[in-house]
Amino acid sequence: MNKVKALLLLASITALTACGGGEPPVTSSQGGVPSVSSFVDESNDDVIRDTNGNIIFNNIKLKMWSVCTNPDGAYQDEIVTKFNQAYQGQINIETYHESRYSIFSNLAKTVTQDPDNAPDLFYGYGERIGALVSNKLFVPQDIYLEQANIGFDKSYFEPLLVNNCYIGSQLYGLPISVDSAMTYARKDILTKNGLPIPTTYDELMTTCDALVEKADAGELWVRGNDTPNVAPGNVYTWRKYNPEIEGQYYPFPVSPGDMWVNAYIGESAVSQNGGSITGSDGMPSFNNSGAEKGLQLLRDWLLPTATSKNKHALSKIDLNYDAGVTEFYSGCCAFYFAGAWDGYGNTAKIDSMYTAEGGSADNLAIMNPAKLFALDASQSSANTIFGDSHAISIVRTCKSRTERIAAAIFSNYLAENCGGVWTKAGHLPASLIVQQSSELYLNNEFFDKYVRYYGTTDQYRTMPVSIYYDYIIEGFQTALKKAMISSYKDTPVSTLLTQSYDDTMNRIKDLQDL
Amino acid sequence: MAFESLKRTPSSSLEEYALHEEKRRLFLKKYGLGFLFLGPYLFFFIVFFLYPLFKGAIISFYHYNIADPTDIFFRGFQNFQKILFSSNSTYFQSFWNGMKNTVIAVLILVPFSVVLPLLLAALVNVKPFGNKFFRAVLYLPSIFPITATAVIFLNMFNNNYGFLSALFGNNINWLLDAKYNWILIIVFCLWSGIGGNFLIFLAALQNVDPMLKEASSIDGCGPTKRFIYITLPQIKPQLILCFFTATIGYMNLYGQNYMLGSFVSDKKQIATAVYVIQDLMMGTDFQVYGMVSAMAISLGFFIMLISIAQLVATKERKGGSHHEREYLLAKRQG
Repeated sequence: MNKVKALLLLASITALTACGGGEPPVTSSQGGVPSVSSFVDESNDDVIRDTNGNIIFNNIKLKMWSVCTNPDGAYQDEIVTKFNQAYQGQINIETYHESRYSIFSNLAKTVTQDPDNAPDLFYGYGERIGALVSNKLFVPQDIYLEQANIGFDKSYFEPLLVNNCYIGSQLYGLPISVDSAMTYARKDILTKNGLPIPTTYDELMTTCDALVEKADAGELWVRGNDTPNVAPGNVYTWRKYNPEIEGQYYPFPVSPGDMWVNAYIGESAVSQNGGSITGSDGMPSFNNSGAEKGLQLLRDWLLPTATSKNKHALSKIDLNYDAGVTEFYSGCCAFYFAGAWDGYGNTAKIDSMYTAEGGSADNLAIMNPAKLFALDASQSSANTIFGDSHAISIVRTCKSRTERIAAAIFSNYLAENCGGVWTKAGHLPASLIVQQSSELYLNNEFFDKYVRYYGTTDQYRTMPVSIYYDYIIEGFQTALKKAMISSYKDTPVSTLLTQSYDDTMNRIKDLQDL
Repeated sequence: MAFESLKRTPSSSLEEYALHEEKRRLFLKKYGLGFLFLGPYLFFFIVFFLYPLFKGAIISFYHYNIADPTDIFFRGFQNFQKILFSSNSTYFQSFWNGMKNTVIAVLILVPFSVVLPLLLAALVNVKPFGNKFFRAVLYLPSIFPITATAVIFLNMFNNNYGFLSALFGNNINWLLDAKYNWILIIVFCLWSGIGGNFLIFLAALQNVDPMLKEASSIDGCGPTKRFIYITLPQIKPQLILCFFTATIGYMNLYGQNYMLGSFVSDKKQIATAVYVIQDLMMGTDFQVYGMVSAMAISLGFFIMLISIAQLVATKERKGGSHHEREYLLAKRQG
């Protein structure tokens, strides 16, 4: 009898659940751009002012979640500590760092299910603000910056970076910095072989071809750390590269598995050839001729053809990851890609290797991606660099108005102090004031050593606001990776892009249908 | 007395109350200690398994946005309909592609993860010189976290500077090419996963009645026949257990593919069912959780079906082991 009752109960539940779906709420996006209704400030108005009208902050404690993990996380903590000291007894920031792979879903879950432990501030990526705002996780920041009366002005920031933080007419994040991947070159090897440091794609290909031809002829001078095939020697000792012992020479190893290739270089190649990955409507747009040119160029890098600019392969194909790191220091290649954050490590390494010969200043060249992937360097798009931007936002769980104003003050402090140690990690400040500051930036040792070569923020392009950021970037990167590996070498780049584009559009359509 | 009067209903007699109290006392006496021991496990079982399972089952009928409580609405069976029947949907395609990859992996992995540890346990059970060392070495990979050991594998199999590639002088692209990557995943799963089964088999083999072995030897049974006809039937419960746990475990294959397949360009080729579910939850698409729950429930349902099929297939047939029972009866009767 009990079993019968249980079965009846189960059947009733099933029947109820089978009654079909309810009506979804009205969507709040046009294409992939979120549209938000005008903001009504429902925070607790607990602002207390002194006789001069200044807001009193009585030991306000705020939590910030940050996507920066070490070493960037440690640098960020240094800035936060200085803020806490400056605002001792008034505002205190407690920081928590978590990987970008899990922090977004944890933020969403904590805000809705455990709001008491949710952060007040979120330090993430400017490109993702659209998706987070469309899920109502952030509140606008401009009104609190205004109430803080700290002289916030939008024009103090790099326009593209600050505009990316606007959803409609409201600012949902304050841009902090932008970064990309860089090309590191063995200046000593190029000079010794009488070759110039390239500044455009054409020059890069010519230099690389010359290096390969010299190596094949046994005429290429190299030097560096030990390699598995060559007996240990002095790093200062020049030797002729011997392909019979050391294998085929590749001047510029590259792997689609490396983050700096699939997250920056591929996108820079598209941008510099007039293409785009996301349209202004926030929808995918990477099925265009600019994208095709960019990806074809990267395929030619590995698999040269009769029509490609390079005659020789610049890199062995199908490398897994960390392509070129070992070869770069052993002198078995002349160039390699790495993140902007590697500037510190790379200059330090060359400094230690060639102390007696001027260190990194005389033996290492750092080139930003501008023009290095443009088939036509005269086009204005050729000068662009694709990057990621960092931005800080106020989370909706920050309920008190005083706390929101305190959060805005901290955000502004972070933006105004993103020189100094932040430069060490290779970040270019979004604040134009910081960019012009001798104290914070221009006289900074890290700026002097490597960040000065990273280009200017007006050259940088980031993904436009899109609620489909994840799908678009994943779709593009899939096409990019396929274009650069041997198993897809017979599939035209245009086909790979179209397949990936269609796949991405289908995923977006399915998401919209949910 | 006042307490007792509170516990009694006006119509109940003293005898009824005494009977009720006696029943309660007996119940506590009989099951109280059991509940006490079961308590801690039961608590965690409810909190970390039962509750999430029921919540997941409920969410699977909804459009569920984890970031926005106003973006949650009932969808009935629509999520299941998309996953199971709507072939144009990318959710259908990715789920079934994941299921296909999972089932293939299970079909390859499960036999190996039963046979291989069994053979190794049989060898160690012979107690060769250094058997304790071998026992430790074989179990050791199981205690390390997947993330740590997978990074070691990634470096060993890197085609540019990997130790193994250099040792064998080959240029197989273990990390980029999906078919080689699958071989790597399977080798990794076996290397890191056989330790548990190995210990179970070793313990089972050590409990096989030596008299049976001796008797069979006297009857002219060789080592192979003895292993097949004496040892294997004796360790049948452990064989079934390992078969079950390996199947269920590998139906949930994820971490190994996530780590070792991170450089494969087309993730569809290495995506298992759990991989598909986890992948959907990454990033900022917070409204997919209803669909994700439906996928998880569907996967759980299929695992349950497979387990039932295994149960039926391995169920002891009537009279299936009557020889053993007759032997034991005769042994007891002297």
